[in-house]
Amino acid sequence: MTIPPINQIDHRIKIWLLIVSLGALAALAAAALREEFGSEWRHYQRQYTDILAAKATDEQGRSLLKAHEIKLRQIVVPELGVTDRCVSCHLGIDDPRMAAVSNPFKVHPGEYLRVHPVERFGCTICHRGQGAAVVFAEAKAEDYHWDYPLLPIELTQSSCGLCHTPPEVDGAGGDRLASGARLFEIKGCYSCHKLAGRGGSMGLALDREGLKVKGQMPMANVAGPHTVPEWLMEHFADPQKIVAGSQMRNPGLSYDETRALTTYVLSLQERDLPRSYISPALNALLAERNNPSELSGEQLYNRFCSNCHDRGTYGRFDKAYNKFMPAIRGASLVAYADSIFLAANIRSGRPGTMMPGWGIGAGGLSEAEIGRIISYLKSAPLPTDVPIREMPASLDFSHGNPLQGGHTFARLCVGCHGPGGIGNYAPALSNKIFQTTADSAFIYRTIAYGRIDAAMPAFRNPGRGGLSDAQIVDLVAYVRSLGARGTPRTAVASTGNPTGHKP
Amino acid sequence: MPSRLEPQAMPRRDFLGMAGLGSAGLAIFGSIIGMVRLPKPRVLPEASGRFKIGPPSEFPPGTVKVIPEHNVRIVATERGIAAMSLVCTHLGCIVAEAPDGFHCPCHGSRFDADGKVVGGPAPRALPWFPISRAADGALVVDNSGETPSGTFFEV
Repeated sequence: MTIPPINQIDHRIKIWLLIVSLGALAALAAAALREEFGSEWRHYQRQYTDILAAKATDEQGRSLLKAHEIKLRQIVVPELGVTDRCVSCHLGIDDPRMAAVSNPFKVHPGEYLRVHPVERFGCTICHRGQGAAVVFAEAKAEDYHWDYPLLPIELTQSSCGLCHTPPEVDGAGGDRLASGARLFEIKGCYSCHKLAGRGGSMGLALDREGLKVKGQMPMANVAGPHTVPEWLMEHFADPQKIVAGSQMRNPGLSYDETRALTTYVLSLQERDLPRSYISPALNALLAERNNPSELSGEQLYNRFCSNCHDRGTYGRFDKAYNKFMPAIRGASLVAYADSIFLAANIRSGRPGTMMPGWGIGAGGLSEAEIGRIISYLKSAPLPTDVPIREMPASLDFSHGNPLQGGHTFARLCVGCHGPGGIGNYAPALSNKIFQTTADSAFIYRTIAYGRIDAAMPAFRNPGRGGLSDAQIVDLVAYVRSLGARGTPRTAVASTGNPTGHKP
Repeated sequence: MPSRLEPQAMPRRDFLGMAGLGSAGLAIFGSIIGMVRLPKPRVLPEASGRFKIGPPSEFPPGTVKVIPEHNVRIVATERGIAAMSLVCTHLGCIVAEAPDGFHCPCHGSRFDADGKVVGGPAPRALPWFPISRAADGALVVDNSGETPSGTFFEV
């Protein structure tokens, strides 16, 4: 088949060829025009040319105007994995003359860039967001599948924590981070959350909380934008609203404090940054983790114990947890309990209660630290008008009758301590730690004289049961019979009726 | 039906056919230009050679300062400020300062005080880098460019 000369081709084919190729030319021209005039960064760079021209009043200004060309700008820092084209539109960040112009041309506020040269740090290491983007919406990346969208400006100080310790930046541009770190300490967050292996076990360890992405958070009840910072903010304001059934106590923060705590939690990242970027203070802190610095007993108490036990000098009923929190610095406990008992309870916790273990394998406290906490517990100023009762010398615990004691337990104790002493509002008695470390004299004195300033009454008093010494000895024998190998079968058979007989 | 042997008259006016062919050619040409440009990105994610070394007040005449992160030697004289590379042009070792200039520890290249080769295997003189001023007044060295040796930036 031969191609016929052009004048012999069908008219309709010529018309179609013309239409299709003109269409293609139009598309090419449109693409070129859109690239030249439609791109955001070119638009801003043209505007910046005008600003530079208006400000070119001296030699330096004229040379800057001359050097300004319209091109994509970027900062690449391979050590940090940063490719940031933010400077394609934020053109005046290092020009002090740009204080009064409108964004995106404004000079970077504060002293931050003087200390952190932008060519060594980039932008996204502090601000997050998608650095390679050259369109604002994509750079913020809030509604994109981007792990770390632009941080709200009031939370940016969290990024100081990548290289600095919070106290180090206090008063040096990182005040909010520092106050967040103080709140973390004061509000007793360590009571439930671990950092570097030290802390309670009711909540999650938070070492890398700042690296979480939104897919890891339940966002259903978050009212604001579905981002991790917003989740944290709303969660600190009302934990149960964001996570139904959360055990976390409402920390009771003002809006400012909420932002500070969010800033601190976002700073917990444990990023693997080059050593040369990490400040000496943070390097020291990281090195110290295996060998924690000496905290006093009081500091340890405030950090790890005070969230539940508060000042510890009085017992209190915690509505959120539906439990009596023992007065662990109260006059009676300090007088009646010995250090072995206290140390065992701190080291291993009290199974069946909310008290977790704090020993080296659990909460991360060393024996020396537990010793310091006990010294602090015993240092509480005792009220002078409270009689500390000595043990009656004549008691013999070896002849107590657990069956009789069981009846008394069912009558007076089961309401709070639970059937078989498994614990209810009041601490569990059937657990191994209590059974193996509490001596009979301690149990006797606690029953007979109660706990001053706490819920446990003195059962020798006529109004609270008026138990005789013999009855208490029987009760001690019953309490002793609980636990060691789990709850006695007799107590399981019928709650509060340890003999198993029908009443 | 004219015979094939007879010369055919040129089509006098086949405007439609010519326009169709011409625009198709243009469109194909434009597309090819676009495709040829496609593999060459406008900007590559490479570290820029530009770095700030501080305000001119830190470099009074007579100052000599080595910036180890960038292997650059800054010299300030009455004539101005200059930046010279300390990376040997032979195989990239860092040259050491000597009384008569610079010596390379690896293969013995020698350079004079201005970086010109006086001996050894180095093929070229040590490059001098252009200096400019950033908006905040700091001096900027651009080690991706090169200026003739002996060029001083006047502050």
